[in-house]
Amino acid sequence: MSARDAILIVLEAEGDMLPAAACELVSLALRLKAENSGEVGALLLHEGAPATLEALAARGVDAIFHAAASALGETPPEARLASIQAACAQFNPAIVLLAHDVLGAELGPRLAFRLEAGAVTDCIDVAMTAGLVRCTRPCYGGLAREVIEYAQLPVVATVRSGVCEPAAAAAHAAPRIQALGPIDPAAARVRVVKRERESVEGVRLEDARVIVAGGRGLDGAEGFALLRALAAELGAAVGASRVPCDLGWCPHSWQIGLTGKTVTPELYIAVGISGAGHHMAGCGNAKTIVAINADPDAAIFRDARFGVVGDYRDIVPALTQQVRRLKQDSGAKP
Amino acid sequence: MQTTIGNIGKPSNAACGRCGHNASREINSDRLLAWILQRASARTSHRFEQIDPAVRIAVLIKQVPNPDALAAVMRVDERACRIELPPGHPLVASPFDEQALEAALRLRDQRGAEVKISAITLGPDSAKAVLKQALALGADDAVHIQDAALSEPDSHTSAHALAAAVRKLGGVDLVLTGRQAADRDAGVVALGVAEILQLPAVTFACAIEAAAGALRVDRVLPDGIETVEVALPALVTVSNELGAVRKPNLRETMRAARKPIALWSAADLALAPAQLVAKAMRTGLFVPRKTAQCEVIEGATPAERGAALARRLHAAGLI
Repeated sequence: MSARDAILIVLEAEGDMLPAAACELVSLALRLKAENSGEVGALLLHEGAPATLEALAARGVDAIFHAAASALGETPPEARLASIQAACAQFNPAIVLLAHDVLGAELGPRLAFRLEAGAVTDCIDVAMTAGLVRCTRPCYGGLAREVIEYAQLPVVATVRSGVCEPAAAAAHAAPRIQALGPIDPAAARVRVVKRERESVEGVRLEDARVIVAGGRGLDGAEGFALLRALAAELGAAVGASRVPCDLGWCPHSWQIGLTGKTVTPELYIAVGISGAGHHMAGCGNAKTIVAINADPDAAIFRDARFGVVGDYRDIVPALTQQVRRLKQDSGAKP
Repeated sequence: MQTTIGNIGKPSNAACGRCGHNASREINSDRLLAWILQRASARTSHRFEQIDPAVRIAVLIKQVPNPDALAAVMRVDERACRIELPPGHPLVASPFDEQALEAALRLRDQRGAEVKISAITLGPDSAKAVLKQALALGADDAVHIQDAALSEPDSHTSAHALAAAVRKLGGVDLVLTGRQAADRDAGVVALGVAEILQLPAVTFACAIEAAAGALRVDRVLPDGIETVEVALPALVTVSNELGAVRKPNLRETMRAARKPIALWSAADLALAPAQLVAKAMRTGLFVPRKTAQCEVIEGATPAERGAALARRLHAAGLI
C-alpha cells in the first residue's frame, strides 16, 4: 500500500529501447514526488527485453511492475487494461500518468472510468499540492490553455510529449520489481487484422532535429518536392499542416498538429503555413520556428523567430542552394 | 414510412420492436448475427408504420463555437474562466461529430434502409440546431438531453448522460462520435460512454464497413493505417481522415421537419445524483503569451531573402 500521493506511470517499450516519451513521464513523476512525498511506481509494458527493465530501474523510480506481450504493436489497447488495473490495485496511486499518444488517449479515459477517477488528456503540466491535482492543457484548437483541478483522487492524466526533459540514467537504489501476468491480446474485444506501416524515408518526424513543413500556401502537391529537396540538404524530416493531408497532397502520417503529431525539433521551418492554433498545438514547442509565407500578416510570424515574406517557390530553392554552399564551404555537415 | 425487412433471425422480436413490447431491450450482440443472417436470407417486406431496423446506430454530436472562425474573434475572460464570443458567432456541430454522422450515413449507403440512425446531443436550447442538421442529412430521429443539472457538464457527467440516453433508446448496435469535441479537444467522453455501456471501442477511425461477422474499421496511426475487426455492439470514434461530409439535400430537409426530436431530462434518464456531479473544475483559462520577436529577413527579391535566411540561420548556429 502506498501513501495517498503515490504516482503511477504507465510506460510502453517496443523492442529493447525505453522510448524518450517514457523517460519524460519518469521525470514528471519524480518532480511530483519531490514536491510531495509519495512514491513513484512504473508499470512497464514490454516485449520481454530485459534491457528495458534495466533502463527503467536506472531512472530512479521506487517500484516497477511489468507485464510482457509478444508483439505490442499487434496488441489492441484494451488488452493492456487488466495489467494496468492490477498495478493500480496494488500501488493505489493518487495520479496515473500515461503518454498522450494513440494508445494513451484510449487507455487513460477508459482506466479513469473504470477507477471512477478524473480523466484529463493532453496535459502540458501536472502539479499536486496538498492532495489537489492541477492539470494544464491546451483547448479551443490550441488557442487557449485551461487549468483543470481535481479535489477528488485518483486522477488519470495523459501527458503531451516534449513537455518534460527525459530523465537520464544514473545510480539509484534498486527499485522493487514485480512481474504481472502476460498481456493477452485475446482479452481485447477488438482484433487487429492488418497494419500498413508507411515507410519513412530518412528521419522520423518525432525524432527529427530539423523539420521542414508545408501548409495550404503550397497550393498543391508539387510544392512538397521543393520542401523535400531542402529537407535532404538539412537532414530534416518533412511534415505538413492538416489541409495538405486532407487534400491528399501528402500522406496523413505527415500531419503535425492537434489531430496529428506533436513534434519538438530544434528548428522548425514552416512554409505556407498560416499558423492556426490547431497546427501550432503540434509544433509550438519547437526551439526555433522559421516562417516562410506570402502573407506578411500570417499569424505564424507571431510565433516565429525568423520570417521571410514572399513566394516560397522562389525562396525555398534559393535557401536550399545557399545551405548546400554553406555546407561545402564548411567542408562537412551543415 | 420506409418498409424494411422482417426476417432477421429473431422475427418475433424484430418485426415490431418499435411498437413497444421490447422498448427496454439492452444493446444486444445478437443484432450482428441477425445482420449477417439477413444478408443471406430471402428478404420479406413488412409494412408497419414503425418498424425495427436491422442495425441501429446512435451518433453523439456536440455543438461547439465554429472552430474555423474562432481564432480571429475569441477572447478569454480569465477571471470567469470562460471564452467570450461576439454576438452571433455561429455555433456548429463539432466537425469530428459531423464526420461520425457521415460514417453512419455511409454504412446506410452500404446496407440500405435497414440501418436506422439516431442523433443524440447534450446541450442548451441552441443545441437543437445540430439535431435538425443531422435529421436533414438523413438521421431518422433525434434525442436532445437538456437539464439545468447538466448545464455545465464535464466529461464525467456528459458520458453518463449520453450513455444513459443510448441505453434508453434501446437496441443500439453501434455508437459513433468524433475523436474529440472541437472545443475542449479532450476525447474523453466517447471512451467514458464505452466503459459505462461496457462496449469495445475503436478510436481514430478513417473508414468503417460492415464485414462478415463484424465491423471492419481502418484506424489512423502515426505511422500508417491499422485495420481492426470488432463485433457489435461497439463504439467507434471518427477522425478527420474519414473525408468530406455530404450536404443536406432538399428532399431530406423537407422530410426532416416531420422527424421526431425527443427531449429528455436527467430524470428521464434516471441519472443517479453522483452521475450529475462534475469531477473536474476549470479554475484557469488563459491565452499563452508569445515571447518570440520575429526577425524579418530582408532582401530585394524572394530568392535573395531565401539565401539571406540560410546565412542568418548558419550564423545563429541553427544549421
